[in-house]
Amino acid sequence: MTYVILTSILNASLFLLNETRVDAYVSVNILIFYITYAIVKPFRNPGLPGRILQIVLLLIFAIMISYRVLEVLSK
Amino acid sequence: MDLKYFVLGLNITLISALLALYGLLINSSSLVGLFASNVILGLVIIAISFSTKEGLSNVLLNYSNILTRYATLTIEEFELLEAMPALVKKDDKIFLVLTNSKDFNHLEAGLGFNKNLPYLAIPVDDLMNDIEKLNEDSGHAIEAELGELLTEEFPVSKRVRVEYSNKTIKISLVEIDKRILDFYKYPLDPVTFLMMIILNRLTDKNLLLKNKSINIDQATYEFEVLERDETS
Repeated sequence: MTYVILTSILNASLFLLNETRVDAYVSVNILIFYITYAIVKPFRNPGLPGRILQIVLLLIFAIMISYRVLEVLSK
Repeated sequence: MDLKYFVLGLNITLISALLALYGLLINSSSLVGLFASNVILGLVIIAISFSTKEGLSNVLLNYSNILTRYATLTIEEFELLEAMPALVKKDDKIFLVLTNSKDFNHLEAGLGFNKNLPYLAIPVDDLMNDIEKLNEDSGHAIEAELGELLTEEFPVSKRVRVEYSNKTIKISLVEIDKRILDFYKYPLDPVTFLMMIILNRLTDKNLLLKNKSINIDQATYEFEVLERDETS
């Protein structure tokens, strides 16, 4: 529930700010997921799907951040 | 798996993916970002749907309720309502015992009499064998291990606090799950049962429940550590 509310606020805010970078939406969303996960602990026992989701989200996040860091370094 | 969450997550994912695709077609990065973010929301809800065990826990809750009521009736017949449960290791066997006496000799599994005093001994040797004895004999180590078990593996409360001395172990379950509060009034409630077995596994000590109290959503249990001489 907390995650859904925060995600809605994030999406609305970025959209109203005319943010055009796709990775900004996705990476902040993933960040919100991990923060709410640490606080609320939605999966008491995450099981295989929960673990797969966490790995996939971490990979997407890492790729996006690496891309941005590379972009800055290459300038 | 919870079908409601699964269908909800799947709908959000599919609709968002389609709308993100539409965003790509009309070349609107904002739309793509917005709906890509919603695809992740859908995936999270799908993962949650696989992790909920509401149905199974309801079955077990009702089953525990029936067993607890039956056990209470038996305990009442044997005038053991005032007796506090003890967890005693005799030779290689471990029993959860309810008796008005402190003499734990000559125990046999089931209902019986020891020096004319009735007892109920439940064998628990093969329960939770995978919990290993702690290397460190401290309250902090017990709190860490017991906390993990009682909040993650067997989620009965949100937090666990342990005060440990050589003679007593005091455990506070903070923000206890409301569904198990009903069991509290019974002499042999499943939470006490579970906690005593875990404590015995972690410390390898014989235990006697001295006191238990409840305050809104916090339950406190005080166990006396029984000397091996007292039980042999």
